[in-house]
Amino acid sequence: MKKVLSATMAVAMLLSMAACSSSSSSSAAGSSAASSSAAGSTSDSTAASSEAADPTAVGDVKAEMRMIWWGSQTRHDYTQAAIKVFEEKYPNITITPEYLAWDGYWEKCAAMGASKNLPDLMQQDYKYITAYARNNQIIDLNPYVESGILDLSDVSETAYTPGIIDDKLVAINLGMNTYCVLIDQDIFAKAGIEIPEDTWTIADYEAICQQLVDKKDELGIKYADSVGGFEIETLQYAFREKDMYFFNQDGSESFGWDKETGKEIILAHMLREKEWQDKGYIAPVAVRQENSVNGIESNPIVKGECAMFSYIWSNQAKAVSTAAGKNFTMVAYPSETEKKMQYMKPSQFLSVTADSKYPDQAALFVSEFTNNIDMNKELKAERGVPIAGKVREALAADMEEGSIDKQVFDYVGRMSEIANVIWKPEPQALGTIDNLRKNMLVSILNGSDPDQAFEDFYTLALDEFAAQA
Amino acid sequence: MAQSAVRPAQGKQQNFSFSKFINNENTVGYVFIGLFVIGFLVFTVYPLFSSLYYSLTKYDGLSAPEWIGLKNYTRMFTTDIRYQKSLLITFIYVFTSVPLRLIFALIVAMLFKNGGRVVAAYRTLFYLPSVIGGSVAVAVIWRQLWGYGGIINKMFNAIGLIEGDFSFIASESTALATVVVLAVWQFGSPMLTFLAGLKDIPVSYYEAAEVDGANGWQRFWKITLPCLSPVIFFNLINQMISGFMAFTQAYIVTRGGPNDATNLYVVYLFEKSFTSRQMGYGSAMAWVLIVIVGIMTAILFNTQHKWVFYESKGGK
Repeated sequence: MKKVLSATMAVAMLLSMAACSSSSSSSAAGSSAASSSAAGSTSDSTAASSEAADPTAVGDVKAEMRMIWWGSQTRHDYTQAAIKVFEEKYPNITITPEYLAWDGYWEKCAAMGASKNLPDLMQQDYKYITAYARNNQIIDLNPYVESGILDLSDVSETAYTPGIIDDKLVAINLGMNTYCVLIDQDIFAKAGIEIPEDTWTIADYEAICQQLVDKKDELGIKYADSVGGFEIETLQYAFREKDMYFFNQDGSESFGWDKETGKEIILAHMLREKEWQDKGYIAPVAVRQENSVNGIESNPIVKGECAMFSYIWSNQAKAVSTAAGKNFTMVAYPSETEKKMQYMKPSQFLSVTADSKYPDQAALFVSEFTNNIDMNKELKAERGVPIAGKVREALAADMEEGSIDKQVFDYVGRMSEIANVIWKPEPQALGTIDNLRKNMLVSILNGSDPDQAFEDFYTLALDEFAAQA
Repeated sequence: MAQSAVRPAQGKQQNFSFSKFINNENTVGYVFIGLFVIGFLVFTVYPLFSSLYYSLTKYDGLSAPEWIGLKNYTRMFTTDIRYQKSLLITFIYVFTSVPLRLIFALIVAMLFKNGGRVVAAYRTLFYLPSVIGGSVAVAVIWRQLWGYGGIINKMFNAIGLIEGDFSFIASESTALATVVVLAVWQFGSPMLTFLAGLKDIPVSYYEAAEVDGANGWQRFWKITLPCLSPVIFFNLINQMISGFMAFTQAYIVTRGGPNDATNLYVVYLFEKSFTSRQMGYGSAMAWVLIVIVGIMTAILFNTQHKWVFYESKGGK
């Protein structure tokens, strides 16, 4: 009896496995002819560059591709609409979308990667591109840029460099974000303070804070700047100011500094924050603690309790403005000198996988995704501000003058000219190190002994690195 | 050709054995429990033992696990100070929230013991927090109540204990207390078991005690508590186990902060496993938690003969 049952089970298992693999085998069979013709122009990059393949010819090849991404329902709808635009332009190419939420995305991709069945096009994250590139699961797109299939002529360097791993362009940035300071221009006007330039320094920031604090009661604010939670980036900028990096840039699980220098920079940075807190420039630690859990929509700036909200991503400005029912002014984060420390963060990337049978067509899709204005009108900049200048202009032209969307576009456009280059992706230990750093900062802001706080942080951080390495 | 003549007979025999097989009570039984057994093996037994294996490895969830022996376990008790702090906080949490919740549940159950229809409605109302207590909406309300300028803050202002704005959630000294209060507030399920237990106590005991002149307090101590002790024991074990596994309240109200003040065991386990992707270390933590809960349960079971009163054993 048991045997019969187990046999039935086994048959059922076999059937389900066959169903899983059938889709991949059929697409492989149908594509072998096409891929052999495409292989000539891709595997040999010198040939490709000399011939300069014609994008329209590439688009005429019949190709069935798959694309996978993570995101919300809005993103799924927008992306599918954009794919439709692409398919209308290139009727021979069809793209089957696969989409899911961030939870589970990487597990699914890892499983597909293991069975050499990754979709042709894969949305990538900055954290993961190094691993995928070094495992040779995503391909170098430089040959396609040289052959003209992938057009990056309208893209600034800060926008595509994050996708370069080991001199290979393995991923194309789909949208940019950068940190900003939100300013309540009404309170500034009331206080008679001019809106600062993007090039403002920390000395300017302190002076403005002092002016605001002096007129605190008159302006009805509790402190000058609510600051977000306890973002790690400010500390990382402090290291960049000294031309160092907080985390090691060689990809190992370690800091980019020795204990003595690091301690000096960290304590100077955190004690200055304490000074700001004591002077009333920034919100007290408990308020920031609440901010970090409550989310940006309930930031004190929404209730008019402060004049500035530094440290927020440009794509979050809209949410804060909506919550407050008014537009705020966006300026860059101040740095020690006029040189900006903040970088342009790629919101996510698009990569062509090594499992793709149609790398030419996939590269063409990436190019269209970047440059095609009609496609980007469907995408509605939901992935961040587009990297191609013309697309940005076209989208901005449709926006209402003075709207927060337009401000975000203008701001990101302005910053892409002056921003610093991004550092290498953070190590695996980031999550815990960030919590340790937060604990150290909170202790110092609460008046604990800074040396002891640093020692605790350092010992635990080394332990964490050791566990990761 | 001769074979074809035999075939029907063979078929008949096969049919016969198949129908016998399919109608066999054992088969039916196996089929009915089959789904559960498969689910249990695949989703409980297999993960259980693979986590035991992972706890002896370094595993990030992406690349293959790497055998490191007992290193995860030694790390917990030697270098990882945050783990030790988290363990301490969890014990404080369990030893405060569980007794408080049970006392609260018992008080409310006593109030509802003799009641009509209105009480039934109240019973449902008081059970509600247990259902919705782990939800994000409640966490948001909790943050409003206990946060800056929240109602609790204003109440303390009014009675003059605190001056100005104070956030109970964001202050290291009071954050854990807010989480404990949230846990106590979810007293619904022990309350229901207490109610059932109270109804089981024969009224004649009370009548006899009243005739003997026992007052309310004496009746509670001498009758209610001893007769209720098996239910108390049951609730204590259940609540203690869920107390050690508490996650949602601390995670959504305070995210383990400020400065790890509410970093309960499972919250820290979650951080290690999913934020830092140290699945091996997380698994090891989970196994230590199993051992801790096991020991605590064993202690309770071994001390029950001292205070739990079972009628069926003749008061032993």
